[in-house]
Amino acid sequence: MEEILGHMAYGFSVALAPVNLGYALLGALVGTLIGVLPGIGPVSGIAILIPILYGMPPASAMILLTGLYYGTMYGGSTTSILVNVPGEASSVVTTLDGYQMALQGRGGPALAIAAIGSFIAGTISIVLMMLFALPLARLALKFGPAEYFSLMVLGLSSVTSLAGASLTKALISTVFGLMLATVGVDLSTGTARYTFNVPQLLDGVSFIVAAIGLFAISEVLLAIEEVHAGTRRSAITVGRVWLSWREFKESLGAILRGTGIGFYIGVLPAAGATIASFMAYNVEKRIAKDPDRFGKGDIRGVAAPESANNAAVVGNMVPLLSLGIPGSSTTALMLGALMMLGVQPGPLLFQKHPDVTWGLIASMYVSNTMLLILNLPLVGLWVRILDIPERILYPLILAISVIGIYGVSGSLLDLFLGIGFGLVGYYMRRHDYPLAPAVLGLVLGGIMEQSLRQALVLSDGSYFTLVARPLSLVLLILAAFSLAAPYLIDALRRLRAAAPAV
Amino acid sequence: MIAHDRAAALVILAAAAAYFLGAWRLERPAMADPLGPSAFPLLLGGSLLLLAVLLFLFPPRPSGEPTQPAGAGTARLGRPGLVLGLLVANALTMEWLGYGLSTSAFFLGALTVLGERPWPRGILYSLAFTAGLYLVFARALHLRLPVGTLFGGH
Repeated sequence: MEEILGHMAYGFSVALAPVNLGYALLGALVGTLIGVLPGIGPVSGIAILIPILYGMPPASAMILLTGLYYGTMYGGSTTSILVNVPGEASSVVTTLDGYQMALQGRGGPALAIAAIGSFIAGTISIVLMMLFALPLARLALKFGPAEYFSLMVLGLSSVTSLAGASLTKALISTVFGLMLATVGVDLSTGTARYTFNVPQLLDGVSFIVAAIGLFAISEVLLAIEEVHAGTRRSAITVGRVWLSWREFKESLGAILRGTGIGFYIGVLPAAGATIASFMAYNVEKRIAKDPDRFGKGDIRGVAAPESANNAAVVGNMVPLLSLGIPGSSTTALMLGALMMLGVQPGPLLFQKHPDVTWGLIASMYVSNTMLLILNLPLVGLWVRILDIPERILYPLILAISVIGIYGVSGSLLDLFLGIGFGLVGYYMRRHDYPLAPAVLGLVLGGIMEQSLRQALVLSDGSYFTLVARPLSLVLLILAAFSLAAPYLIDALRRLRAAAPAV
Repeated sequence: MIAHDRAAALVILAAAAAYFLGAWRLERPAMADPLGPSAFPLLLGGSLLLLAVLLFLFPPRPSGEPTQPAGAGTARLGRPGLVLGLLVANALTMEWLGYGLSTSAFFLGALTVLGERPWPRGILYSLAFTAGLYLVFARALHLRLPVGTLFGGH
């Protein structure tokens, strides 16, 4: 414990450095803006901003990204409550009771409990995270290349299994991402692969280009199919953003339960904030003495999911920092950004880059506090941003995407690749191919191949090593289980449904 | 939807085959680890071949979403298509016309396609956005944006 306190003190010295405070503030503000803006999700918003991280110290870049990520969460809940438009999937549940509260003129308390619940959840889960991340990283230090390969398989398969309606399509998306990772010079032999004699491709497909194209450009292309004339003006009056002591006491249980559920779900690879928020809401409804009040403007229906999605964000950081395995699109973007800045993620991150890890953890406290202070008084401003018409917003996002891609690489080829990825992403979105596995595959593909090859060097070319080493075997079994889980659950349900009839 | 997925499966099958062949043809260097540069790509190509066959044989049942009325599909594609064209034009002219002209033309086109009226206001917005983004990204964040060969840049 003392050791952790020492690390934390160091972390705060990084996070509270004036420059980094500035980045945290910038991230929190821009993140909230992205969260509030209609029609652009947090992943796209973060993707188009990755080019500006170029050349930054990795710790500052991570602090900025964390602020952004947190900010989008806060911003997303604001629009869920006030205009019934969830800024992102993880605040969909919040619309159920949040918008009802706003309609009843209780928008103020709803916003306040979302912010306060998020703050409490964030703070508690950061403590939990500190307790979990370091031991997990220590365990992972025992990993050899075989275990590391199996860990990647587990990371990819768990993201894949939860990603979409069709497992086949999700797997196609995963393999597509892994294939992109094979473009370029093979690091261990120097062979050029899939470069078609184009010199710019020797370095491989740029992560920035793929992320911006697949997430941001495709999202805009899809959204402009349905741009409406005029604005989606909200006629909701917010009222005073505060809540009574009674309302707070009523929600405290929901906040704490939401935190526990959210953190637990967040740590599991792939199961992110969205699932956490749904689960927390359902648990609250189930244990309530008066479940029929839910959906009609019950404050617990806002407190639980908002706490849970924030705790899940923190939980998501555990596998990211300790194992180098992202559990969501956003953490995949963070991982890609780290690698772009020359930081190799993995169990050694805590030792090699304590400024990145502990600075990031400390900056989560900082961002949380900032957002709590910022959001309550600034809600009026954020609401006005909702009035920006989509027809103006979308060209802006596309222009920023183009500037980001070209400005970093100065390469027209990258620009065309980015637009091509936009088109591919557009097709994938329209036809239910999840995007997250593709980006995760691109980010993890290189390390995955290298660790497989190193493992086979050690075993003289025998694949048997992957199942002969107990830890590796366990990871592979977990991976197989995670792919089969949706089917198992389905089968169980059918069995149970059939049982009474017999 | 099912017919569409089958067609997509064929395209994916072809792409996977090409990728697999590309891996097959890779030269195997004399000094290499047991797997070499082609094993992982072969594995991926093989997996995608298998997945494409699975997609063809068992296309996922359409989800419960309401199906679009026939004919609406192509009409809806018009706007994304136009904007995509503008984006390509933007990329094509970026180094020739330079950031300023190319981007403001893109804005004017996109705003008009998305319904910004009257168009003089669109011109005003286009110029303001182009200048604003230049200040933020080129001046404050130091990203390189081209002047344009037309104006003596390179």
